[in-house]
Amino acid sequence: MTGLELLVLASGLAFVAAGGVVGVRLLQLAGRTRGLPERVIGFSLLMLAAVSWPLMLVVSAPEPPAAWIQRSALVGASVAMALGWSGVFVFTWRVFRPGDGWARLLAGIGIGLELGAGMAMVLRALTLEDASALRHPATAGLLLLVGAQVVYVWSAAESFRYRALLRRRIPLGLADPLVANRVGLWGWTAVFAGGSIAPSTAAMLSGGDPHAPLNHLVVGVCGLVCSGALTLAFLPPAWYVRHVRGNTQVQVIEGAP
Amino acid sequence: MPDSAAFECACVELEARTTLDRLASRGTVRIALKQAGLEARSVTPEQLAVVIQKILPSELSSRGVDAVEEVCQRILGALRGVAAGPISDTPDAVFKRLGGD
Repeated sequence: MTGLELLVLASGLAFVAAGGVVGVRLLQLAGRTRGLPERVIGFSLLMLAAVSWPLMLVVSAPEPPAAWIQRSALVGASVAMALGWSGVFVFTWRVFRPGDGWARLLAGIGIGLELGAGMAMVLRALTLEDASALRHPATAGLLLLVGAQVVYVWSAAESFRYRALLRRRIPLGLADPLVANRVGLWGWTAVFAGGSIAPSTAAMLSGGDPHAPLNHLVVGVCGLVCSGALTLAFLPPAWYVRHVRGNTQVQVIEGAP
Repeated sequence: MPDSAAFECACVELEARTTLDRLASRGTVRIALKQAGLEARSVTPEQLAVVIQKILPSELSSRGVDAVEEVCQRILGALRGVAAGPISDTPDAVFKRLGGD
């Protein structure tokens, strides 16, 4: 295994760990609060990190596994990716734009695309005669990834826009700097999650090699940064919280509520 | 989405207490809100009270409004009568919760 392949593996394992732990934690939170956002994004993180990534590792292993294992892994990964990215669409719409018709439409189209492409991937995995051909790119896989890129761009744009609003509120004492930082980190999580699947998307579109060294470097670095941002956002260590809050100045307003 | 009751109340009061017309009043409050990172459709009475104390006075002065302090106090008084409305799950409230704060 080359150094770059090790980097990709390490970043994948980091994402499985970070996404899995944060996903479980958010689902536990949802159990207490009954809140839709934590339920949806916790489920999505669990699907994308702890289910789909390990299964895709099985599908694309250097030594192809038995056909039934390959088919089962691809079915599981396709369902997990379709549900996971659909959840990110729901989260972005419900949290940032709950009252906007265009956002509901975009989320609806995105969810339709993800579920449709996921279903097509499942059918392909179950019906394609030659199981070894499952390792080759398919249109349904490309659509799944394009939908994911769209939701990551949307999520990042909304997060950075909202962080900019919160930053203006902080000096007035109307926003918590840690929350503003968390919103920004969620934006960066989306940026680097999108970056980590960008080489596969580009290779499918152009017919290039997704396993080229540069692609491995991009996937590895983006995956690690994505995991780091996700961890700092939802499981920040005490020193990080002190650092964020310590760098903030708040105006004291006499008589303010 | 309609503008919040707090925003409407502040604009009506500003228009009534100054020579600013309806359009100028609403525009002035919107500019003050934008500086504070707030939006007319979601601003609460409490948030708007801070904006009226910290940002609106300079905006009114730059528009040649007289007795700025008194005008702002009148608006604050009117805002006290505005109900806070239902608590909505704003993005910052959601992200605060997601962090376990």
